[in-house]
Amino acid sequence: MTDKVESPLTPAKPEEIRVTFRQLLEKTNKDHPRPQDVAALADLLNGNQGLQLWRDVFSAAQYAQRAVIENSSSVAGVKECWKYRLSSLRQELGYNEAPVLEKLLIQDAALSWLKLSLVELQYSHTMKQSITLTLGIFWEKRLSAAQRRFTRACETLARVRKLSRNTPALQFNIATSGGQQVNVAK
Amino acid sequence: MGWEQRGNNSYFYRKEREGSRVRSVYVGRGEIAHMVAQLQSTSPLLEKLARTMKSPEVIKAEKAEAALDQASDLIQLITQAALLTAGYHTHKRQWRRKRHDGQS
Repeated sequence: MTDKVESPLTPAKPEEIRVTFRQLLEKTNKDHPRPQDVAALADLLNGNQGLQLWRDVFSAAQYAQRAVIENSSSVAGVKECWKYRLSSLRQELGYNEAPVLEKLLIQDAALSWLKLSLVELQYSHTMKQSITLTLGIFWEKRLSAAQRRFTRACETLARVRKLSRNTPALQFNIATSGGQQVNVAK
Repeated sequence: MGWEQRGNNSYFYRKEREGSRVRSVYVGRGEIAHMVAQLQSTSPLLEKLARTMKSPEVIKAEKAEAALDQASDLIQLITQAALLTAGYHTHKRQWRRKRHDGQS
């Protein structure tokens, strides 16, 4: 499965956009943010500049998927099975009908699940052997990190789904300056 | 070292760095704490050794995890931004919507 983004109309300045994005996040995450800051953040998410931001996130997620599958110690056939399983898991979680933000979160949850399964497999395989204390701690840490990542992804997906029932504003339309909606994900 | 005096007793604390801050995590006291302290004093050496002897498999796994963490963090950031623009804010790590005229 590939996620495609049409080319933006304005020249891309990813670093600048990311810096502005983080600054606005810091300014707005408080009880009484300035309405101008919230509006600027909304513009960044919805507008042309935001396109670069969404594109970055989607390509980071795709790169992560490739890295997780390709860097695992398995034969090519099993890797293909994982790709298929990931894709079917995303469909089960309603990927096709989901708004852009949920699509990202579904992708994250599915990939974190795969990573957790891979780490659990390696962990149980390693623990069967006689290992050093350091190696044991190393694997414990990796397993905990994978579990934490998976839990966080699921929690965020559930939270956004719950909140978006009453907040249609969470469903983003990323538009070009011509007013046409851009398909961020397939 | 990780031993700290509280009243008449010594307690062993593990020091963890979180960015610029150092956090003390309570480990215990007595014999068990002594054992943990002894093990901990040797573990940096062992870890240093292990780092120099990292297998290609471990390097690959770490690379994949770094990519996954980066993507995951970006997704969390953009979700935060979406919630903020929709009128939510965090209060004690909980997302809450700002009340308008007595309505939630």
